[in-house]
Amino acid sequence: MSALDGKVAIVSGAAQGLGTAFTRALSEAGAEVIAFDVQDAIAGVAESIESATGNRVLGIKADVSKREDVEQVVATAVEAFGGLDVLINNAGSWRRTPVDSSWEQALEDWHFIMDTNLKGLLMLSRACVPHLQARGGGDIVNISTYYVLPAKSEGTNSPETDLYNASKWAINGFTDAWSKYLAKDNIRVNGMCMGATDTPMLRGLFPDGELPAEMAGTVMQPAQIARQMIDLIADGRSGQNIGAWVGEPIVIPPHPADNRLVSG
Amino acid sequence: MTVSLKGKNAIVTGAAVGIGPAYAEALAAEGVNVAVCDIREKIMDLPAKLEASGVQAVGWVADVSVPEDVRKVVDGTIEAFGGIDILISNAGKCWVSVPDDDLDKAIADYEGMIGTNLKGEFLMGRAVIEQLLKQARGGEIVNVATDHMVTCGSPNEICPKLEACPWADAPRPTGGGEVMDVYDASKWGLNGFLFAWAKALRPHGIRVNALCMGATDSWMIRDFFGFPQTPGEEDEEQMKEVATWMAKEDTAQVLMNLLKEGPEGRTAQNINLCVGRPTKLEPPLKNIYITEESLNVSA
Repeated sequence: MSALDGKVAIVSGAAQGLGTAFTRALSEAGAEVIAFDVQDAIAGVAESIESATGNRVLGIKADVSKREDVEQVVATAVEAFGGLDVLINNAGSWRRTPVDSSWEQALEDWHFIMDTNLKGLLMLSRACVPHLQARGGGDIVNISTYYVLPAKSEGTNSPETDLYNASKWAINGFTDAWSKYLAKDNIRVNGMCMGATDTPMLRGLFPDGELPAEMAGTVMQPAQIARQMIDLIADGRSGQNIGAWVGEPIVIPPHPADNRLVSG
Repeated sequence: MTVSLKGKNAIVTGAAVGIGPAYAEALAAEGVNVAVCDIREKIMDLPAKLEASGVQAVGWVADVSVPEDVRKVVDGTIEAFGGIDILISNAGKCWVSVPDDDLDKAIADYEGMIGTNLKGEFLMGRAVIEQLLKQARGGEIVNVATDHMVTCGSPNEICPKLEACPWADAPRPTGGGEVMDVYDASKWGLNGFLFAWAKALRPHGIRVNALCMGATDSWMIRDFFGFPQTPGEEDEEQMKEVATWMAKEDTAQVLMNLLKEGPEGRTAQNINLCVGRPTKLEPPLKNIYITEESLNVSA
């Protein structure tokens, strides 16, 4: 009996990097997974994970920024697997958006980043929540970045990626409000905030996709973050941002004391 | 050490009702030429009032979530005043949203609240930054956020640096809302602009800060709670609630004091205006999300 036997999970942006690692970890833990992505590669990724774990993985080509796609993914999940227990909001876009870029570029950048990272995350979550409620509980994990954490985030809010940063900061509002509102439904909501992880998104920052030597030896691996995600779901906490920093153990931190939050 | 604002040119968005006109009037009283905009026709009455302070003023009906409207306001301000020194991105929308809303409402909430509160501040900021860089004489950008995201921390994180906050042991006046997820996301998102812009623009002498507003007596909060818009018409219970809110004139004074710090003043700061604390400009806090050194980089 594995930790997530009989559970159903949706992972967005699952064709590469962290999304693939999340899908594999959930599948290994016993869950049936709906893995979707805008990239054609999603079909092959789903097949290879399914054949490795023996648990069903349904790969769907779909764009989280498109309402019809989101509705179709969630409907397919519920139809194929009978319900939904876990949502991993992983799909994300990244590009440099310097403050002195042209007006036309700024307008395009807004949609490139926000339609996926913020609007897509909102739409997918809204579509999933009623199904999580219907199961009597579940987990939502929002994938963010380490510079939204006060601890050890020094200096890392990049000046060249204002829109990406804003999209990740905004997720704090969702994680916080959802964890409070959905507590009555036994639905936990947390953020995962990791530093440099060896993904195509990170490799895309460097010429030829090669990590610099000093980074190659220290960068975290997607499978490590995925294990942390499984531990987070097992842990039962809600409303928190879980950090992962290069050079430090990738673990779930102890439960913090209630730090004086008074709900308003 | 403070600087005079006299003769500078400012834009205030969302200036027809609530806190916006208080900001515009406070700027005019300091001798600042003020351009204002709002989605409400009523905005067109404001310039004449501002001109009574002996400054130039101009206004537009404009929606900051619409790129063409943003260009109209920014290009129009440059044409009217010859330049821009100060941007106060105040326009904001707020209403209830919850995780089990349907998709129709979610998309309307996104377009409305993210559109105005986050996209609007992005568009206004980027349009004004272009002009500030061209002018090469510094400048001020102030975004308006919420006390739901003040530094003492929600979502509740492990924060070893909380001792930097003089209020670390005080109860938080609010956490984020339970029924304001889209609003809170729109305001948390502003941190992305705050830190990126402050870093990128520091070498150009341009400061970027945000006012994290607690409950302030304004059109928006009266609308949110369904209170009468006219002070004095509240029932007894409402009156008690209103008595806890900050006065917009006081928050406008905090803004003036911030601007008067001039180019040597703080940047990349969320300025906390929390209910239950004095409505005043507190000394700069140690920034817990970025470092002073990291501000000294150029885009």
